Amino acid sequence: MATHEQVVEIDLSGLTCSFCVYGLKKNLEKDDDVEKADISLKQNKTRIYLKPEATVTEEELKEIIKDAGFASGESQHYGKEEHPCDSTPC
Amino acid sequence: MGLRSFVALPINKSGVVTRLVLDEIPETSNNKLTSNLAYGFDNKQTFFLAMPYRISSGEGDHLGDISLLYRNILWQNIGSTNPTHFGLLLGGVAPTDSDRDPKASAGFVVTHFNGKHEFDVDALWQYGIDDALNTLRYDLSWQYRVYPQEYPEWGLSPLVNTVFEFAGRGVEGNTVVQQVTGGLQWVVTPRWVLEGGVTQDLNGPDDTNYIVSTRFRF
Repeated sequence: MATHEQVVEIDLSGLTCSFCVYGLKKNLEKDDDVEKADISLKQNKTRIYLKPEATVTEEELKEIIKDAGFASGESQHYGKEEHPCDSTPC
Repeated sequence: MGLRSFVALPINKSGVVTRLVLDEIPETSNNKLTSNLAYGFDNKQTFFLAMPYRISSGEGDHLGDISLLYRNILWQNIGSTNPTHFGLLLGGVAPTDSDRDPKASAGFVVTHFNGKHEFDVDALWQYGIDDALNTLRYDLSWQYRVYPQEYPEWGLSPLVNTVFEFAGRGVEGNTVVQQVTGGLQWVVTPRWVLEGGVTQDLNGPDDTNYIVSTRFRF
């Protein structure tokens, strides 16, 4: 069972290669509120684990994605009791 | 990106990529090791630097001229699963010996991704200043992901791409040498790529040359 307080999932496009995955992950994890970011080329999605005291918004996370050169789409914000780690491994 | 050209490299803001390329042309003294550096100013602007070093023994300089290029992505379609980018290239060649003259460079690069396929086209015209000769180079590259057939649910496993390229290299007053290249790229980790290939001249003086390269993303 995961211990993260908040998880944000954001759909991505424009992601094509390993350097892109590494670069985006690194840019997201530079944010002080981000504990960890996982990226799926298969699902074109990022799953961002936030620190318990995080105040970063979904729009701010999408801005980081845009700055890195990719496009973002739909997003979902999960609280402690409902995030996707409960149904799929984190 | 393919084997012969660095300008199709995908790189994002603050990204730094280094590459070492060993070009070996058997039975000549033109074997060289080229160091490349790329830095992403932001999501559209990239700076490239290349410095060749001739490792063969023999007369003449070992350190080649330093090439600098600026890439600006003028148009891109990143809102789909098949992204396309079009970039303008501007730069120059700075001689490392006072006997040689500088060059100004201009060109373009297009990259298109479609599932397991990547297609790159780039061309670069170098205008010789003073006594330097004009040169032209172009590359058409197709990369196909052969492993894995499907990406893992999260993260990245090692990848293997095949690479096929058609290229031309020309110096003012001479015939443009057409070349074909076949090779493999092994994405060992998301930060590290090893690649190699064989290039065959179709109409040039050198029959075959070999390329081995490694790229690292900081």
